[in-house]
Amino acid sequence: MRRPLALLLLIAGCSEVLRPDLYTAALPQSGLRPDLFVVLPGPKGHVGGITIAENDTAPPVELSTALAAAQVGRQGRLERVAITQEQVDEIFGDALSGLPKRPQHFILHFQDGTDTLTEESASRLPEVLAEIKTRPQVQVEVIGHTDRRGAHELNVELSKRRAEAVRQHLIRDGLPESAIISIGRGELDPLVPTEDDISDHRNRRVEVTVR
Amino acid sequence: MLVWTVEALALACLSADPARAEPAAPPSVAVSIGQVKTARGQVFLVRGTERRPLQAGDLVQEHDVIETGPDGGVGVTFTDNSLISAGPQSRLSLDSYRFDSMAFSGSFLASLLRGTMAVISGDITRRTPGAMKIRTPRAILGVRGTEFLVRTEEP
Repeated sequence: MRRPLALLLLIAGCSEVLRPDLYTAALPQSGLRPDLFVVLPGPKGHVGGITIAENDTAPPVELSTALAAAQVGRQGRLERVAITQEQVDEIFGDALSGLPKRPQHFILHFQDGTDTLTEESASRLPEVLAEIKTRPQVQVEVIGHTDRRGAHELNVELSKRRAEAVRQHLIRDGLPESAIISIGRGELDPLVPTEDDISDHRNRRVEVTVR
Repeated sequence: MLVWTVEALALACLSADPARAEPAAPPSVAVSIGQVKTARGQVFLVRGTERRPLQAGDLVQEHDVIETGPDGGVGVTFTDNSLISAGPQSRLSLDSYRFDSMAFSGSFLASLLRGTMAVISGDITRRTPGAMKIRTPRAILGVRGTEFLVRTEEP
């Protein structure tokens, strides 16, 4: 890599063709081909995997372990290739550094039949607010739920009031209204599946996603 | 429906600048599918015939194309909580995006036409592995649910 760079410096100013960006694009780094696919280990080491094919009908190559990689070879065929963490950092460092922060999910619970947070959940609000403050461009999704006791229509109303209660907390803390969407889903989406008309404290909740 | 519209924003812009007589908005409702969270260097949004700088906080829509310059980089969080970033000299097309936040189901097709990208898949693949696809000029990639990287160059 050093020699082309020196050459570039020598002829800098007299060539529009050998722009540095074009030059590096033309040289596959570290011997790897330009078309490259790499699976990363997930946050907890979990890897679900990807499949890659040359077109919609070609048999796919499956990559499902950390740092498994494939590239499009000179004949246009996909081939597995070995890649090191150092190569990943070199080639994809810029892209990786631009990844947004992972969304954070919170579940806040409510007292039976009310839009009042349980004591335990009320004490977790500062954690939610702190997470919001770490993100300059934040969007917050607030979704209210109920357990399955009582009439569905009443539960829709209750779930909306729960979401609204949390929304008001966030607004009081300075989050602009435009950054929040809040809805109530009634008893349609229980966290823990139960028979109808069953009271379950785990389902009386608001789910907050901070992204 | 959990959607972020940019209509209000667009209306505000129009009324604030009457000299900029825009043609009537297209009939399709402008629904945002994600928000730019990180942006550095030169980042552009191509929407139809319009090309303008893209900044952190901006909303993106289906069919948008995102481009970065030699020192550019951009990261977007989508409504299904998937994350996509692009490195320098990249062109990323958000071809189609459907997400039903009630059913947690949908589909996502994006194309990396040049450059590098990093992806952390979200709720679309959590419910339906394979429902997210990334195309490059020479390959098509199906996402079962993971974090991965893609590099390509123009044909």
